[in-house]
Amino acid sequence: MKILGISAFYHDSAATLLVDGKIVASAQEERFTRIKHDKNYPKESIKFCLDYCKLSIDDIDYVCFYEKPFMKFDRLIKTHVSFFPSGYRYFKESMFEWLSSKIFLKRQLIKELKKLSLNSKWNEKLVFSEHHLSHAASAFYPSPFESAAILTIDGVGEWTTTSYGVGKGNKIDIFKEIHFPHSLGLLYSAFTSYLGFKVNSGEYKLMGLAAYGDPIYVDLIKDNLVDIKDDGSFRLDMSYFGYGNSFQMTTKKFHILFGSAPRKPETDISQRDMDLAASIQLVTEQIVMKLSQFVLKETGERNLVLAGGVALNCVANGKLLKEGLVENIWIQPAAGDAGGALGAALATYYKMLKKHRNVNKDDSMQGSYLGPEFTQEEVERSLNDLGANFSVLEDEDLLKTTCNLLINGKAVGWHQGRMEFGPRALGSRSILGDPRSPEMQKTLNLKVKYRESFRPFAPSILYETLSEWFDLDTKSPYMGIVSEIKKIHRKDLHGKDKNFFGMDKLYLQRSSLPAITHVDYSARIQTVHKKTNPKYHALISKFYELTDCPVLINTSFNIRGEPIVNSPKDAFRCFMGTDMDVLVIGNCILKKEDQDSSLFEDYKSHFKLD
Amino acid sequence: MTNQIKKGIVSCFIPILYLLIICPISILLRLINKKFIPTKFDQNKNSYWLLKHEKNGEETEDFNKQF
Repeated sequence: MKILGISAFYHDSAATLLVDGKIVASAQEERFTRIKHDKNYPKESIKFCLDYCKLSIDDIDYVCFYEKPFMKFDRLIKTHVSFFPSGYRYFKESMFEWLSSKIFLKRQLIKELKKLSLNSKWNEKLVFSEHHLSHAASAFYPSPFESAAILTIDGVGEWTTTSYGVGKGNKIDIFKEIHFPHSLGLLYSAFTSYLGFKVNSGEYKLMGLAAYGDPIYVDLIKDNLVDIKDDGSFRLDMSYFGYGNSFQMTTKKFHILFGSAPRKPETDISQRDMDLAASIQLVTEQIVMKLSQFVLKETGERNLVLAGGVALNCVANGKLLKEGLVENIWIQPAAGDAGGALGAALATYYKMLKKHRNVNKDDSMQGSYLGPEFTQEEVERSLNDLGANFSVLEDEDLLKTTCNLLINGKAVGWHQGRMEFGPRALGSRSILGDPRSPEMQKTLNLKVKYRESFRPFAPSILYETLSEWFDLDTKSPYMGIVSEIKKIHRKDLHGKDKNFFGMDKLYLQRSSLPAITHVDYSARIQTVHKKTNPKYHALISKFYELTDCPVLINTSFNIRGEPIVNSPKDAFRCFMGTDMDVLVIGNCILKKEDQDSSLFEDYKSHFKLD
Repeated sequence: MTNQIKKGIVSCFIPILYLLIICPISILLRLINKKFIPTKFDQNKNSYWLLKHEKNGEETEDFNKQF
């Protein structure tokens, strides 16, 4: 049984191929088209999935789209009726988009599929899952649990913004929902927009910024913007929010409440901005905790699985564990809409076709390494075509050389094996650095990634050594959990250091791993496992052997505004357009000083700031 | 060209849809004090959870639907 899952036409289009229940290929369209958050029909991702398994589209038994378009249209119409008479311009533009294409989505999908084959009966093969069912399926079916409570939280699907239910064996039952416009995801996005960051991409920045502030606006938010009940359910006062009937996330009333107009993008960040970020982050954590407590109590389950964009809030996830609210938690690594493609395929296989589910005790995501890979021969051919100067080393030599370069303070591009599915780089398409270096955070942010200096970097740590370095005793292979560095590795702050405020905190060394220790001693942890990524595990093991430090900085292989690199060509271009020192692709190693200077390019200008 | 014509027709149709459908329904709902979407807090409620609407029929049938 071969099932293709598709998510598209909102943001982060993707495709997943499931063969007899096994996830064999998954990729986001942006990685091929090089358009960040590409929302178009995932033509390239589908092509990759089929090519990877050497299948033709006629071999596919079902194609499942991740949401139900008519339900979404119903929501749109009822929203306009509810906000009448305001919002005509918004109505006009959204209706234009819907009536021109989205309302005929089935026809559009069949038209695209027919381009691949006229032989299949697409009308019978094309099915639709609900948006939050797709999220729920992506959270439960690949999880390591036979049964679990399921909680999905995002911006909005058709009507649903939050839902919970139970998964048992191959069954999923969704019990209750919260409907649009009352959305935790959109509340967070409203603050993201108000603080001058882009919706659907700046939320990570807000989360990083929150650690610099004090949550002094929590009461103001809870008294005015969001009413939270004891069971975690919530409602927003829509007079403060514009997203129901305009292109603005917030209204004038919101701006008056917080005392100013929205921050202009790329302007200085004030203490007030940081305090607002800290406040909305804390409110989000409180809601997520209440929701989780309620859902576990209602379902009587000990295991919790999460998906939906809000499940990418790893600080909130970390708090769930820290507070001991949940015994076992599993978070879908592609928790956003891209993961909807995976969920749609899984929902078709297990829920619609009622196929038997075998639980994998590690989980069924295979480390989320589900994307394209390139053979050594392909890498060398590609690098030769690009005019690159490189050496080819044997594995052991490659690891040792790379580690020595890292120890010498070099920023290393690391391109190996299958590309990750989901927003995180997990050691296949990563930029690596030495976390012990006090300068590395600033260097990577400003010279390599060209991004805001306040943003923290994540550590990759050998799973075997996790408990020696962090206050965490559970696996976090997908960077879904934030935890604090252990006290023994922290550095005490003395005298005037304690009086540092806001961004000044950035320049204080807080631990023996300053480059990955955020200002509140937290870190977004990736545990590295030999089983899922042996080469990356071997690299960190070698670094550990040479330095006594089992940790590397791991940041995504891209610059600000750019999708994570996919091919060796993408990696080489990024390498040549930034101050990255070294590039390792497969067994090829490239040093910047060895490259032809005519190949350097103004890379930054190719991408819009996000 | 066909696409341009289609877009033109859609553009003309939108104000008509607004005047003939959105406006009268909205006004009527206001008159009878009904709302599709609650936009304010409700202190009388203990919970904002809504029961998931049970769908009739087979699972396969539901996956075939776009609604």
